[in-house]
Amino acid sequence: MESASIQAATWFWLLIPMPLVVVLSFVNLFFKRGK
Amino acid sequence: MSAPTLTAFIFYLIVLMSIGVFFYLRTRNLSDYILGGRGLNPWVTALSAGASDMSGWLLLGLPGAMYAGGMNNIWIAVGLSVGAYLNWQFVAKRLRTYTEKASDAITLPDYLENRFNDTSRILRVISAVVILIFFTIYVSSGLVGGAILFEKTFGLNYQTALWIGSLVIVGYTFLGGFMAVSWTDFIQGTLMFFALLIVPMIAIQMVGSWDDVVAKAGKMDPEYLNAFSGMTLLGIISLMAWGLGYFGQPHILARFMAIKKPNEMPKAQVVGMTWMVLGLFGAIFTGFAGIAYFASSPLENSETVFIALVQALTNPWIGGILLAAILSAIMSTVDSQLLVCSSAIAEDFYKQILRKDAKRQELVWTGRFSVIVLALIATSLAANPDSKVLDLVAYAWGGFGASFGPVVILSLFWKRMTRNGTLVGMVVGAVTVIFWKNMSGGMFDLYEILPGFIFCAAAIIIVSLLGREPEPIVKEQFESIT
Repeated sequence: MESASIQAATWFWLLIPMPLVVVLSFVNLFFKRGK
Repeated sequence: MSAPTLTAFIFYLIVLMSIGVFFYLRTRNLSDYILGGRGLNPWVTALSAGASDMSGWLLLGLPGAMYAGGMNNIWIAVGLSVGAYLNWQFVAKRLRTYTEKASDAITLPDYLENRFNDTSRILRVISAVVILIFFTIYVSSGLVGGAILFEKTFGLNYQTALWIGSLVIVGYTFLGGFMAVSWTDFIQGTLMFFALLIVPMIAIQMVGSWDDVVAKAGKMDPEYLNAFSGMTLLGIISLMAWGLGYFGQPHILARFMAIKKPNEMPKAQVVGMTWMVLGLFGAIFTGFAGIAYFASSPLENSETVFIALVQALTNPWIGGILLAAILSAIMSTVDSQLLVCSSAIAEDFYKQILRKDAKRQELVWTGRFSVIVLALIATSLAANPDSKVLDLVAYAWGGFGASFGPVVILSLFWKRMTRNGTLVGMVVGAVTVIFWKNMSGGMFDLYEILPGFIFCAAAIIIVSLLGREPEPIVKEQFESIT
C-alpha cells in the first residue's frame, strides 16, 4: 500500500508540474493575444 | 573517433563559423555586437535562452544522475522548470521594456545604473566586476568539461581538444557577436532538442516498451521508481531551489532584453518552455531507459549514458550528429557567457567610464578584442583543470541567483526600491551564499541560494524603506513602464 502511494506520488511529481508550466505558457499566450 | 563522426563534427563546426562571418558583415555598432540591436525573433530568443542556460548538464549530468539513482533526481528538473516559467512569465517582458526605457540599457549593470539614476557608478562597477570574475571562471569550467569529455570519449589529447574548442567558440563569437551567438545557440538548441527526443525513443523501443523499461528498472531495484528514495525534505527543497537561480543569470536575461518586440514575449515563452520541458523529459527518459538497456553490462561512468546509447543504437553518421549535440550544449553556454564578459568590458568600463566619446567601430573592436583576451584567460585557466581557481564556479549559479535575482525582480516591480537598498542587497546575497556554502550540518545543508535569495530580498526592502524615497525622475520612469 505504502509503496503504491510512493510510486503514485513519484509519477505525479514527474508528470504533472513540468507539463503544467507549458500549459500555463499556452494559456498566457492565448490570453495576451485576446487582449 | 570514426571517420563519419569526425566528418559530421567538422561540417558542424564549419556551419558555426559561417554564421560568425555572416553576422560579422552585419555588425555596425556596440549594441549590435552585444545585444544584436534588439532584433531577435521569438524562436531564436527562446532557444538561445534555453541552450545557453542548459550546458552539458542536460545531455550528460541529468541522464547520468537518472541512470545512477533513478527517479529521486527529478526534483531539480521540476524546480528548474518552475523557475524558468516564472522568469518568462513575470520578468522577461517587463525587463525588455524597462531596459529600453532606462536610457536603452544594453547590459545588466547598465540597467541597474540607469534604473536608479546612480551617478556614483558604484552599482555598475560592482555588478560588472562580479560578472567578469565569475563568468570568466564559468567559461573556463565549461571548457574543462568539454575537453575532458572529448579526451575520455574519443581519445583526443586534453590540451588539443581544449584549444580547438576555444578557437571555434572564439572564432564565431569574435566575428559575429550576439547575433552569431544567438543563432548558433538556436541551431545548437534545435540539435539538442532532437537528440533528446530521438535517443530515448530508440532506447525504449529497443528494450520493448516504456512499461518494460519501468518493469525492468523496478526489478533491478525498486528504489529506482521512488522519487523520495534517500531524500529529506531539506534535500527536495534544495534541489527545487535551483529554479530561483534564473532571475539573476545575466546571460539568460540578455536574451529577454534582445527580443525585437516585447509583445512577442508570450510566443517566445511557449517555445522556450516547450523546448525546456521536452528536453528535460528527454534527458530523464534517456537515463532511465539506460538502466534497463545496460542492465546486463552496467556503465562504469554514469555520465556517459547518453553517449553509450548513441554509440550502441545509431549508425556512425547519425551518431556523429547526435554527439555534436553534446558539443552544442557546452558551446552554447560558453559563448553566451564569454559575450556577457565582453559586454562588461566594452560597455560598462570602456564606453561608460574610460572613453565616453569612443566611436562606434572602436567600441565594436573593443568588444571583439575583449572576447579574445577573456577567452585566452579562460583557456589558460582551463589548461590546468586541477586549478583551485576553478572551484569558484561552484558559487556561480547560486551567487548570481541570490545577489542579482531579488535585485532584478524588485527593481521591476517595486517603485520604492533605492540604490542603497540594491547595493546592500547584492552584497548580503553574495556574502550569504559564500558563508552558507562553507558551513555544513543541519539547516546549512540547504542549498545556499535559498537563504541568499531571502536575505538579499529582505536587505533590499529594509534598507530601501529606511532610506530616502527615490528621486521623482526615477519614480516617473518606473510609472511609465506598462
